[in-house]
Amino acid sequence: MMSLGKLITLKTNDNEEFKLDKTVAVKLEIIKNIVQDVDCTSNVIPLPNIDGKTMTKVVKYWKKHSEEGVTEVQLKNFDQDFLKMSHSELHDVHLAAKYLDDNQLKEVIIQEFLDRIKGKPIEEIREVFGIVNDYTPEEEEEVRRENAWAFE
Amino acid sequence: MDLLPGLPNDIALECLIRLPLHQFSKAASVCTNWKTEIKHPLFRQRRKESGLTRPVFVLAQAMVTTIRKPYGITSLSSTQFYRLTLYDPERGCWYDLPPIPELIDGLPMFCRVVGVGSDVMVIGGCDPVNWRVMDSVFIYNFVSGSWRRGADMPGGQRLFFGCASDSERFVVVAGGHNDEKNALRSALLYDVAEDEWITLPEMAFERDECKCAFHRGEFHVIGGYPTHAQGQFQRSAEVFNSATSRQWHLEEDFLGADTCPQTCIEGDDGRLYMCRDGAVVVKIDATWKHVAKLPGGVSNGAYLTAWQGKLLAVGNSILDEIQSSYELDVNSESKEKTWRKLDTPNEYCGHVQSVCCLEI
Repeated sequence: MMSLGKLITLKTNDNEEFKLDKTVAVKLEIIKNIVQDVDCTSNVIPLPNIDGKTMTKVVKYWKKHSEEGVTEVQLKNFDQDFLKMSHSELHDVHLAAKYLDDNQLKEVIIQEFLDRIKGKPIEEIREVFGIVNDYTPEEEEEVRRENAWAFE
Repeated sequence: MDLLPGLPNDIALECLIRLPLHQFSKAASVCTNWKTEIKHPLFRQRRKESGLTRPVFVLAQAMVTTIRKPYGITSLSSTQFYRLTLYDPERGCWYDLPPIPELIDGLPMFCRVVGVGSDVMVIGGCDPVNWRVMDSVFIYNFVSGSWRRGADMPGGQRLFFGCASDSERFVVVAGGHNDEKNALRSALLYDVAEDEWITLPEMAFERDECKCAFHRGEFHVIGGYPTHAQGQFQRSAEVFNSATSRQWHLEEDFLGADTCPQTCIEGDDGRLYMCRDGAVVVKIDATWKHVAKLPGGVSNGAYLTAWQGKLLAVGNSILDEIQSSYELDVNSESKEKTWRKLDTPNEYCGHVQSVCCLEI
């Protein structure tokens, strides 16, 4: 297994390199699993499934969330801003988080997708995600008649 | 099928299972793919595995009225009008379920309430106005938030039967008595997915006022009494495994005493609990062991249900017809376990006829 030195380099599939220092690396328990089997004398970890554009976002997220003395409020504001992405960008970050086994980031992305659905009007959900309404007007009326109730 | 165009279905599913319960019926009207997914039995399975479901109790409970007495004293009294109420133990909240559209006079008297998957079934009972015995099945689905009719219960009149579900798909109805007050040996299996009743082989004994429980993967029909010995409760049980056999298997001394089995319930530790002689007892191997004395507020008989290592007792004291609810932590280490009285609003203190627990 590699030893975590002062710096680790993550190399994406389009040859972009990200150097992370130890304070950030502490968060990288997740990386450990990936590199365990890889003979990593140079401290360069190849990430064959992630491109530079996506990794930039992931690293940005990691860095912020391992910043010393960062407050809950600051993180919340950061996340809010961070998640302003298109569906496909969110998807890319989700895939990267999945590959890197970062459950926290995965959950954050799913929550963002969920927030784009939860409590939104049906028409808005369809429009935002490009879902075609394939109900006939009669069927739609029937489904809508099934009454939701106040149990929350 | 694409749930969210251009995105993999695992992301879409992860989102959909996280929606709050009351938004499922709305989400189902987005498109047919969403509806198919949300109503699929595997969808509930996924929610359960991800820890997103929670236990709730559904009770057939009387409405409560306030009686004014001289000197400005008021007291509460149960009416003859029963409706379904819901208790959410995590939040400590009570709710009314929407009424069954066809039953404007309230729930049938002595109906049985049982939870299966995301459904609550109301089976049988008597018409509250003319006392005619009903073979009807009404099913409320928590995902669609709507009532539907199930196939009528076959095999002639049946009242005071035992009833239990495997929580997933099947319900057993067993024993009770027919229109001539003869205790019954017959039993039925209801398949919720197919909306179909299947007649089971007859049990060895007649069992009026028996209790059904799903225990360690098998349906147990416990106790009850035969026609010739009204009210003399028997101690045997008959066991049926819907997956492996279609035969009943008799367990002679199941209850260990001639006692009413109505409170028998499986805790989530896989053990059977019941109320007996003012206490809760648990079956460990062949013997019933003391767990805790029942609180005074339910000393006159209680309904018992179990969830997440706890027991809920609903009942009334000798002095009071109004119901109280208590919970008990079965796993607590202390020698004499203590009950916690639930803070129950007046309108949810009415008499209880049947209770079930389900994960929604």
